[in-house]
Amino acid sequence: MLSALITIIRRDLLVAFRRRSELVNPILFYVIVITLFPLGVSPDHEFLSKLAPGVVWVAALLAALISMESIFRQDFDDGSVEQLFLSQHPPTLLILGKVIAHWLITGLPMLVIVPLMALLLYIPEQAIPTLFLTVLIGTPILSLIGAIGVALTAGLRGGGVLLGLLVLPLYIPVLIFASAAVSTAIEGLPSSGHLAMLGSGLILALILAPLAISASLKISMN
Amino acid sequence: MWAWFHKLSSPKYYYEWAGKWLPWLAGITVILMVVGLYWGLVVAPTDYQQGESYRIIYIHVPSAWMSMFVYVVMAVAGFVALVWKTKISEIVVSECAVIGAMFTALALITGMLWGKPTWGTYWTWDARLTSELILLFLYFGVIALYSSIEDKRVAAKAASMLAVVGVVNIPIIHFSVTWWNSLHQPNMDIISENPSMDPSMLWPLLVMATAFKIYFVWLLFIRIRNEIISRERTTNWVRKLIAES
Amino acid sequence: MDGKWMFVWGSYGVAFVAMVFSVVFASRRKKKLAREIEESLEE
Repeated sequence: MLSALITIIRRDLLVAFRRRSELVNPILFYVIVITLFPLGVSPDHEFLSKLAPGVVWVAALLAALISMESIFRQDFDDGSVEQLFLSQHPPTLLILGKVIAHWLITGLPMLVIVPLMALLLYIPEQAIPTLFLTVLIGTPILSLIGAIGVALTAGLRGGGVLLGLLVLPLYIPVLIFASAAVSTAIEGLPSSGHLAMLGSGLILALILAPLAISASLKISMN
Repeated sequence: MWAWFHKLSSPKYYYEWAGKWLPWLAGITVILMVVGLYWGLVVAPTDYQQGESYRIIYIHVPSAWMSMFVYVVMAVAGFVALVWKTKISEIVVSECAVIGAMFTALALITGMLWGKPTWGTYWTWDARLTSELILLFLYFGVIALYSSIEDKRVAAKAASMLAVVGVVNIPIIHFSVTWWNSLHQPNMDIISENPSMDPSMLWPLLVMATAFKIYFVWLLFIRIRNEIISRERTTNWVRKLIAES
Repeated sequence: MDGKWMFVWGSYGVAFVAMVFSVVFASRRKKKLAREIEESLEE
């Protein structure tokens, strides 16, 4: 079981590393979106640090959305999604493996870059560990929920905008709790409550999302 | 009982069965609406705090209730469609999405029109208004997904799936929004929408709520019948039906 | 009359238009569908 999970993760990572540009693009997108805010709103120190938790997370939502498409697109077109369901292992497990791989490709780089973004937006140093934790817990939820949307639109050409319409409303709780955690940390208050909320969201998503993704893929394969 | 449900899942039987109900539903809706409107707009006393504008709640509150009720109906139908793959429940999902979006939009618009004279502003990021707005987005998602997939049976299944995912998320969204609101809401002089209401004000509300519910069933039946005809247009029974009329 | 009545009539008006037209459009769609099928039958 576990070996199947590891095999599929390794396979997806290998495929991703063959097309490096797709690896870098979402993170570049993330950095650019964040840069737009000081330019569009105000570079004022105090103002920006107040806005920062929301900016970091709205950008994360958009970047997650943009990168989401690639999770099943290729596999859907070349038929390897069907192989997931023919395998002797439970499809939900293999799907979970694909989501984990996808998170390693898109979520992990964000984790690396986010402290740097915190500096750009004047988030005080004491809040950076919390910000880091919210990204660590929050982005896997985004990947899990986003994968449901991708699975539903997999059969469509150019489902990009539609995907946003389906998935962004479902991202709202993550946005609320994650940015609230960062805000409280900026104020110097304990943010463990919000992080616990995010954590339970992740557990719930880990249990339910693979089921929904597998059912959605079956519908799209029709 | 089960045999009856089984029969009801056949489009032809459902079409005839729903057709018999239509005049009754139309009649009851009109009567209840007229009674409720007269009661709410004329008979019910003026609110001493809010003045006349409180009368908006007689359409705002039923719309808001319906917006949530229809989503639940849609999700249940979606679940049935996914598990038992019955044609009628698939149709119910797509038709509920349109009707539910209408109720949600109505709840928002009437809520805004109520907010202006009461709060002095059309929009506040109040927990209930915000939840309602997100609910509208969820409905739009279902409608958009359904209409962008060509094959209507696949589209209905995908929409059903999204409705089920949405209904799991609604409590979480609602909870997070309420909680977010309690963090950010500046101290505003909010008059509660319905503090323990006087019976003379409550009764018209209940009449209107019932009227809305029956109106929903009525509109749903009309739309389902249309969709049945549209989908089954190549079958013999529809052709016979059209030829006879 | 209280100025607030304007908002009352506004919201009732919107609701009335939306709900009545939903039924009217649904009934018109049925007639259209029937005509379409009839035409295809004649062919």
